[in-house]
Amino acid sequence: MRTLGHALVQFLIYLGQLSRLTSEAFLSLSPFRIRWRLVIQQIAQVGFGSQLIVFVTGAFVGAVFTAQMYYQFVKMGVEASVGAIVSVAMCRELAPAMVGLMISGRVGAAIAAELGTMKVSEQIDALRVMGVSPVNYLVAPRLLAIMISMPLLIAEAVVCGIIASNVVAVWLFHIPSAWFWGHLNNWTDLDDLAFGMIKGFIFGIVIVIVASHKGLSTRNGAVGVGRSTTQSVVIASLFILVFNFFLTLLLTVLFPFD
Amino acid sequence: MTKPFQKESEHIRIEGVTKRIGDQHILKGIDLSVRHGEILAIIGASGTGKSVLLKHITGLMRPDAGRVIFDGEDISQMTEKSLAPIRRRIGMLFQNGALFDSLTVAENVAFPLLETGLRDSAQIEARVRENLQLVGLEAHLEKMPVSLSGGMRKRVALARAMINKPECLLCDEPTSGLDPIASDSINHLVRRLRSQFHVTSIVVTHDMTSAYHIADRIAFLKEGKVRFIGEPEEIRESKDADIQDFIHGRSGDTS
Repeated sequence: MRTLGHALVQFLIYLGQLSRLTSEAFLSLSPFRIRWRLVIQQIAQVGFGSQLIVFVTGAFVGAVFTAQMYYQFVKMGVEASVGAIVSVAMCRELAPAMVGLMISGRVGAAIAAELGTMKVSEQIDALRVMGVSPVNYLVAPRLLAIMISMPLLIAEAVVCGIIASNVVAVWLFHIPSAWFWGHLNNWTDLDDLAFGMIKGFIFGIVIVIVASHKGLSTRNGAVGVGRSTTQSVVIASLFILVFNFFLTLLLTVLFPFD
Repeated sequence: MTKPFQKESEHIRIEGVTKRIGDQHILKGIDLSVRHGEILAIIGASGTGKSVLLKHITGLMRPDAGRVIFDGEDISQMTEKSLAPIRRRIGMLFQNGALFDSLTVAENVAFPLLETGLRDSAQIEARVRENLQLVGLEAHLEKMPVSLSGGMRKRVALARAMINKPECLLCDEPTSGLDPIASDSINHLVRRLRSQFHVTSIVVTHDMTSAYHIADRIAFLKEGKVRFIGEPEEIRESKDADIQDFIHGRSGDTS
């Protein structure tokens, strides 16, 4: 009971630290304080740098889901509507969650490792000594970059997933292409895409804040950098999975199925 | 001996500073006063809190008790934001240089200038060159810090610490890991900053040769307190066995 209470207190303290970092980072986003050069650098790293994983993730999630749905639907004789279910699932759940997890592995780990190394080699202290806020210089540009990139990456993954789904459905399972697109158009609209992009936007914030916090609080040299990196990926991924559920409940109120 | 600094007023005062890190009691009530334009060397064994003390002077660490007064202002309770203008008046040389490894040598040295809002690129370049010349590294402008040797990195870091013409320079072991000639050139630089620009310097060091060479006064830290403070002659003639062991490098072990 005691250890449970202790763990709970620790967790609440951790959440408090995260909220503090979040508010500090958002306050740094006032137009006069943004370092656009760094933001653009980060967009290049987060956005362009993630093309391969987003492409592969989107395409193969779409493909496997199509195959699985086809095997189930064919028993009920509704295999032609596979496009509809795949596109809605990609938009609302699969693309944001899978891309979120992949980006937390790629971008979150990189942020935690870079900031952690800067912390243990006193570069963070050097910034502070020069009167530069590490949050303003390091966290805010990454936050803005991921807030811009993530929704676009989600949309990209959705498109890749749907194209892959079409390829699998038409070429492998011989569903007429017109039926595929017809069902898809009937059941998917921009609300579904917005649903996923909003999720991606929020997951992006979670990834940057968790990773930056871990990086900036790194101690104990190289071992500490390794630990921060691992922990930031694990924690951000868990947050994404949990947030995903609650965001689905919340966003369904905003974007009801019609 | 001339003592030009003595007629000057106090620049930094440390009053009863104590600090615990984890379960270690690092500083146990440090009192220290540093005058304008003085070079103070802080010596003492590893782990006696010399670097920790230095970090209190820039507000990188906050004391558990006591005060740190910089030019009449108590900085020990200030927020990060209100500390920024004071920190810009201080240059700090970190133990391993702490250069930003994503930036070139020139960008590192220019960094503090850009942060104070200087935008004229010709002027920035001139200042960067001038400062790198001072440390003898003007040929390495475009290199990345990782491709420099430890000694060169430290000299770049010194150029970066000096570029804003700080009124106070804090050096954490500026000569450790350097060859004797590189050490000597750093020592000369610190002295020249004092004579040319009247910079107050606090130098944490293990290196007795350099402490004797540059310091106006030497403070000896032992067990989290200032055991002794005085001019180099006085410390040399001190009767304290710990001090004598330290300055002569005797561990007390026999073999």
